[in-house]
Amino acid sequence: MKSLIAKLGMVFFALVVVLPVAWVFASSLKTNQQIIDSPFTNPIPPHFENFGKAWVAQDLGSGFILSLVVTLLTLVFLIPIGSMMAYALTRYKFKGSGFILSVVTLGMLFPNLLAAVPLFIMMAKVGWDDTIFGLVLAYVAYSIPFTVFVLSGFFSALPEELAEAATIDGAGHWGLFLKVMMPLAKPGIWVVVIFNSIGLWNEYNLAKILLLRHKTLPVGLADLISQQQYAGEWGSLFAGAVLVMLPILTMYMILKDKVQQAMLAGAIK
Amino acid sequence: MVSKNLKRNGFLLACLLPGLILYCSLVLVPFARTIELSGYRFSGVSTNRKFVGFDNFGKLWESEPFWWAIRNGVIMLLVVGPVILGLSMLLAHAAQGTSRLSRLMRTVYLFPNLISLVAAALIWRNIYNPSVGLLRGIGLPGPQNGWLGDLDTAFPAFSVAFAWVTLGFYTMLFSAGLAGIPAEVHEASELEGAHGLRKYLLITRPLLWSVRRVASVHITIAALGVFALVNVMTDGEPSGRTQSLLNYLYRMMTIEGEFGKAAALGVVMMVITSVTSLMLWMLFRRDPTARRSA
Repeated sequence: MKSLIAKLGMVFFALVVVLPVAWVFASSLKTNQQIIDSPFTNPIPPHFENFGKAWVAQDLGSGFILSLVVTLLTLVFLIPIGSMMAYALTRYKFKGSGFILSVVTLGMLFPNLLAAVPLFIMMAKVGWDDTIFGLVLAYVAYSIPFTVFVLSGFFSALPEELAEAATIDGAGHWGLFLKVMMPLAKPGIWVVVIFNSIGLWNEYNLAKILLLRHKTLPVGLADLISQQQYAGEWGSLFAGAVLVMLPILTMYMILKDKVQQAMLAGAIK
Repeated sequence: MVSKNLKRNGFLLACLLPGLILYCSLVLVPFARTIELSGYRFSGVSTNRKFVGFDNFGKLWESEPFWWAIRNGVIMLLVVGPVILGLSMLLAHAAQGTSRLSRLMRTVYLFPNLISLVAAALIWRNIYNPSVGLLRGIGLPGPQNGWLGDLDTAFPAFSVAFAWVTLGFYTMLFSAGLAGIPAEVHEASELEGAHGLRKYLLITRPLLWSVRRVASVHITIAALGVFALVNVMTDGEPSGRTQSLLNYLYRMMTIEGEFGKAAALGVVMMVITSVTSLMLWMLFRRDPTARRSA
């Protein structure tokens, strides 16, 4: 039996969470005048032209594509690199493996902006500042701590007998890793892919520091927000917010349990 | 035998090198160089650096935004963080079970944590906006310059937005912790007559010890590491009242062009983050469910 207070509390909290998000979706379909008139004007008939304006005139379309490219490219490098590291550090005993693992996971403790000054200088010196390549490299590097931390948990939980059986069957180091261990660690791969996709799609700090001409979607949207007080293009601004929120929320609605597991993975250990 | 070892070491090197090279050159070395660069006065990538010793730290000490950022960090750690953890513990208790309402809540509560902080900042800027905002729409326009524009209400208003973003995550964390407590423990404690707050204090709270420790460290890092939300919502205004350490660091790097001072602030934050996390870890060191007698 659940008390009335608990029920009311949940209803209140659910409304506080959902209403502002729903309000952004509704506002993205309104005219500027409707938005200025009142937050409660009716978004029907919907004004989808806000999305066209956001995509083309406000240039968020190129931000959307850039964010997509950067997220996917980072994952393509990060997942093999991270799984190889986690696998080698947990399934092989050698001097310093524990030390390396703790130094790598220590990276989760500090915000990346603390290293912003030297990172920016270093990128500028090798000419990778303001390039997608430089940003992807930085993203891979700063995603390694979480990825290795989570995957090493999954790899170290795999039974030793399987490895022994595969080795007796003649599997080499690579064969054992790629054909036996990686498929078994699939749940862990899911976790790091989902967690990193969300984090990379939304990433703001490094994109803001390392890119100047190009803007990822969050940075482009943030710039629009600071100009908005002069421009007054409210409809397309809210449409831009929908562009950044919709892919993540869609993924969440489809893969709810996997997303929740991924969000918890870095915390519960 | 030799070739077998060679194969093994070759495999290990191939696995470790790419990641270690990236991690060392782009994470470890920059963190270490932040300490070195905090001793110089310079701007941008120019090689024209002047060694000034601890001068940058002295300048920080004398700058007003730095102290506002410190004040805000302390309030976040001592007031906002604990309130968020307390509320999420309550919500996690409320959201237990399989009723439709509980399941609905356990779906939506993660929304604010999943969406971009820039979108969250946009939402809250517009909730507080004195001319087109949601609060104005329900007759709460706030002080003359709006909730975020007033010296006294700006930081509390910002904290509410921060709580909105993070609350669901900690509720999920505690829900997972509660779900991990075996049903027999609940049954036994109810049979012994422990209900409500008494049951929470005597049974649930000690059992959730490790989850509370994780949540405390996590929220410490999140509260001290606030950047995007401040940067987009207020940029530290009005008059530094909502300034955060990272937003001030970013400001020095970009607008003020004081790279050395920015590095010095980075060092200060490294120290603050390590000390606070370490203190929390010590605070939670003793497992209350472990046997007391030695």
